[in-house]
Amino acid sequence: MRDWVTEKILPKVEKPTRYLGTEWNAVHKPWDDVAVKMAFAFPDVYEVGMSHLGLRILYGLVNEQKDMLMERVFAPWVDMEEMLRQYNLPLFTLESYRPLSEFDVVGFTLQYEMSYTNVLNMLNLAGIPLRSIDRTSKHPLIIAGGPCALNPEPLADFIDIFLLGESEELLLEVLAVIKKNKKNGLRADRDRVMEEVVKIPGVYVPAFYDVTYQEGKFKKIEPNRPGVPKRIKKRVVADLDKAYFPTNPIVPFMEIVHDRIMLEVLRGCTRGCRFCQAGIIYRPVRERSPQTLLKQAEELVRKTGHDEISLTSLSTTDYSCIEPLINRLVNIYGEQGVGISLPSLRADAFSVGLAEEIQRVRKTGLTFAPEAGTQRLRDVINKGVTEEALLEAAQAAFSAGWTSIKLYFMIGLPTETEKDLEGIAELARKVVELGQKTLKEQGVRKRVKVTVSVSSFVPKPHTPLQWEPQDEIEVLKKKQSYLKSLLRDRHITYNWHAAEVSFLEAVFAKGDRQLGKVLEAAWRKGCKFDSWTEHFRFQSWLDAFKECNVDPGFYAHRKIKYDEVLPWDHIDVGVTKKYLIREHQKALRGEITGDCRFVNCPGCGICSRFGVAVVQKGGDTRNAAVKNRIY
Amino acid sequence: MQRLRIEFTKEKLAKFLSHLELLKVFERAMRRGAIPLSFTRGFHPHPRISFGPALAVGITSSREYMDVELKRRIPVSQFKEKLQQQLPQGIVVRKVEEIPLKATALMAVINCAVYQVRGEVDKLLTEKEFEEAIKSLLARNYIPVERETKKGVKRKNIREGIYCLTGSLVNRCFNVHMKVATGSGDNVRPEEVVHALAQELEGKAQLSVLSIHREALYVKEGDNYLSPMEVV
Ligand code: SF4
Repeated sequence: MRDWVTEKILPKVEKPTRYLGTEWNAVHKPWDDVAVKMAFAFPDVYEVGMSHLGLRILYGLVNEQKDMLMERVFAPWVDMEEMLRQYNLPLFTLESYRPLSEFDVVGFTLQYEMSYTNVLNMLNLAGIPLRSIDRTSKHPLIIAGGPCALNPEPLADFIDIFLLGESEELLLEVLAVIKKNKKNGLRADRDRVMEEVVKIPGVYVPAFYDVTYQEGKFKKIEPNRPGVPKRIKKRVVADLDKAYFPTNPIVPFMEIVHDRIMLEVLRGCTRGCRFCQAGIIYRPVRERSPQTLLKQAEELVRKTGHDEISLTSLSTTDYSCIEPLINRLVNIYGEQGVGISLPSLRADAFSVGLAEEIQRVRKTGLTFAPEAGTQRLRDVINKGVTEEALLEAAQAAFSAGWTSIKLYFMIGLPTETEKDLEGIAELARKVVELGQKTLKEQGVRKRVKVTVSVSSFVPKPHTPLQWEPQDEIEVLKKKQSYLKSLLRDRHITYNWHAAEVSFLEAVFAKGDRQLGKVLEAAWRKGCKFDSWTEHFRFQSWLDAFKECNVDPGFYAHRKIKYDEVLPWDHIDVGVTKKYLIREHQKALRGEITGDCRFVNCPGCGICSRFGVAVVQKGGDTRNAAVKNRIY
Repeated sequence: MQRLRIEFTKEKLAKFLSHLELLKVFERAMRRGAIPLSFTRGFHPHPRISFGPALAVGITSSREYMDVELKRRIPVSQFKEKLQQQLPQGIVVRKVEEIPLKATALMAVINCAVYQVRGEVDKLLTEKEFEEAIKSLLARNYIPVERETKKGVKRKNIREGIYCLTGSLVNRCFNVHMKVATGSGDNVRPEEVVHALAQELEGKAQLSVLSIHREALYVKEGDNYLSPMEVV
C-alpha cells in the first residue's frame, strides 16, 4: 500500500511530507513481534498534532515497551481525504501504512472542542463504526484522553474508554489489560476489556453509566452496574523528575507549528485565573529539577538536532529556578546556534528581563495577557496583573529594543460593562504612547506596533466561572465592533475570534450526552476542521441542532444554579466544588485570591486529595514573591 | 574554518522534501552529528549552508550539491561518515571535498543539468514517429514557452538552452534524456521540453510524465562539462 500511495497519491497532494512517516526518530517496530498495537490519533492536521507534547511523551513511552507499539495518524487534510475516498482507501497510520482497523486500540487526544467532528470523520475514513454500541470485537477499542476528556459527555456515544488526567501511567495499565486478554494473536474480547479496565483509577467507560433526563434536560448520571465508581478521579504523575520524558522525539520534515524542542519545566499552575480550565485541571504544581532539565536538554539537542529549546509549561516564568536555568542553557547552547525560547510571558519587568536574556523571542515580539481592560474586571477573573506592572513590562520591553507588543484580552466576561471595553482601548493606547516616548528618547526611528487580540469568554467546566452564561452571539459581535471603533489607530492592529466558534465551544465544553446526535448530524452535513475558518460552516451546525431538536442556547446562555447536577460532576479533577463555588462568589464580589505558592492556601483540595504538596525546586518562594511584587 | 563541498543523492521518499525542508534536514543532521557548523552573526543565526540549483518537489536526483562552512576543521572522511549516519533514507552522501573558503558559490557556477523523464503516450505511436519528433524539435531555432512571472505571463525561447536531447519509445512508455541549461542565468525545465515535444507530435498522441530524475549537474564551459566537485 505504501508504494502505491507514494507513487500515485503523494505527488498530487499539497504537502506530501505530512504523510511520509519516515521522519527522524520515527519508530517502525516489526508488526508481528508486538502483542499490543495502538494508533495515536490526533484529530487535526499533521503540523498541529506533531506540535503536541502529549503525543511526544506517549509515543516514546509506549514504543519503549517491549510488547507494545504506537503509530501515528492525523486528520488527513481535505486534499488527502478526497484521494482516500476516491480510491476507497482506509485511513492508515504513518509508520506502517496499515489501516486503523488493524490496531487493537485507536486513541484520540481531545485538545479542543472544535476537533470533535474530525474524530468522527477519522473513524469514518477508517471504516470503523462511529458509535461504540455498533462496534464488536472485530473493531479496535476507541479510547480518548486529553483536557476535553474531563467533560466527556458530548463524545460518550462514540468513545469506548476515556482516560482522565495524565496518561503516562494510566495508558500502560490499560494496554496491559488488553494484552492479557489477547489470545493467540486474536483481538481481545471487547466486553471483557471494558469490564476490567473500569477498575483502574482514572478510567471512565461511558456505557456503564446511565443518564436520566427530565423534560428532555439532563438531570443526573449514575453507574448502571456494580463495581463501577460513582465518580472517577483523574490521574496525576507524582514526581516529574521520575516521570518518563522522551529525549528522542520525532523530528518532522515539514515545518510544524512548534518546530522545536519542548522542555517541560513544570506542570500545573496555581495562579487561579477564574476562567482558566488548564489552571484547574493540571493541578497540582510540580516542577522538574534544573539538573534533570539540563540533562534532558543535552540529550534532546543531540538526538533531534533542533535549533531551539522552548521551556514549556502553563506559565514558565513562574518556575522557581528559571533564572539559573536560562543562564546555563544560553551559555551551553548559544555557540551551537541553539536558541532558548519562552512560550508565554507574565506581564512584569522580571519576565521581560528573562526574555531579553534569551533574545530569541525578538523575532515574534512580546505577548502579554492582561485579559481584561480594567482593574475591577481583572480582579473578578483573578488575573493577577496590575496596570502598573503591565506598563512597567512594556517600558522594559521598549527600552530593550522591542518595537512590537501583543496584548491578549477577553470580552464577554461576567459583570463586564462598557467601561471595561473602553479600558482595553485605553490600555492599548497607553502602551502605544509609552512605546513612542521610549523609542523617541532612544532615537529609534521605528514605528511602535501594538496588536490587540480579543477572544470571547467561554465558560469552561471545572472552573469557578462554569455556572456563568456566555454572551449571545449578537452581543459579542456588538462588543467586537465597539472595540474596533475604539481602536482606530495606525499603531494598533486589532484581531478577534469569530463569535460563532466561541459559541459552539461553550456548547460542547459544557455539553451533555444529547449533543452526540447533534455532532453526528453536523458531521453528516460536512462539518470538519471547524477550527479552520475556511472550513467552518455555522449554518450546517444550526441546521444540525434544529434537526435534532436540541437548543444550543440552553448550554451556552443559561446561568446554572449551584444545586443543579452538572453533566461533568462525576468527573473528579481533584479540586472541590466547594472551592469553585467560593471562588465564583469572590469573583462576583471582585475579590482576589492569592497564588498558593506565594501566599496562603485557599484550599482548592488538590494537595490533600492527591496526597501531594506544591513542589518547587528552588525552595519556598513566599518571600521572593514579596520581593518581585507578584501579589 | 573549513569549507566542504558535498555531492549527495535525493531519492526515494526524500524526493518529496522541499528546498527548505532539505536545508533543515542537513542542519539538524549536522547538529546531531556534532559537526561544528558555522553560523551567521546577528539575532537569527543561520547555518552557513548553500545549495546548488533547487530541485522541484517530486523530482529524484542522483547528484545534488551543497557547500558548508565549519567553525573547526575536521577530517573529510570523518565528516562524511558522521553526516551519513544522521541522514534519512534516500539521501546518500556520495563525495565530500574540501574547497577553498573563497571558492565561487555553487549557484554561480552550476549552469547545466541532465534529466531523464519517463512517461506514457496515450495512443500507439511508432518509435520512428517519436524519434522524428525529437529531430524536428531540435531543428527549430525558436521553441517558445510561457512562464508565469510576477508581472504576468512571459514568453521565452528555450531552444538555446537545450544542449542535447535523445529519446526512445517502447510500447507506450517513453524515455527522454536531456542536457539543458539550469541555474540563475538561462534555465530550462524538463517538463517544458516534454511539453514542446508533445506539440511536435501534432496531436498524434499525448505525453504524460510519470517521473523525472536529475542525473547530473554540470559546470559547462564551452563544450566541456565539469562536475562541481572538479571545478575547484
Ligand atoms: S496564569 Fe492564569 S491563565 Fe495562565 S495557566 Fe495559570 S491560571 Fe491559567
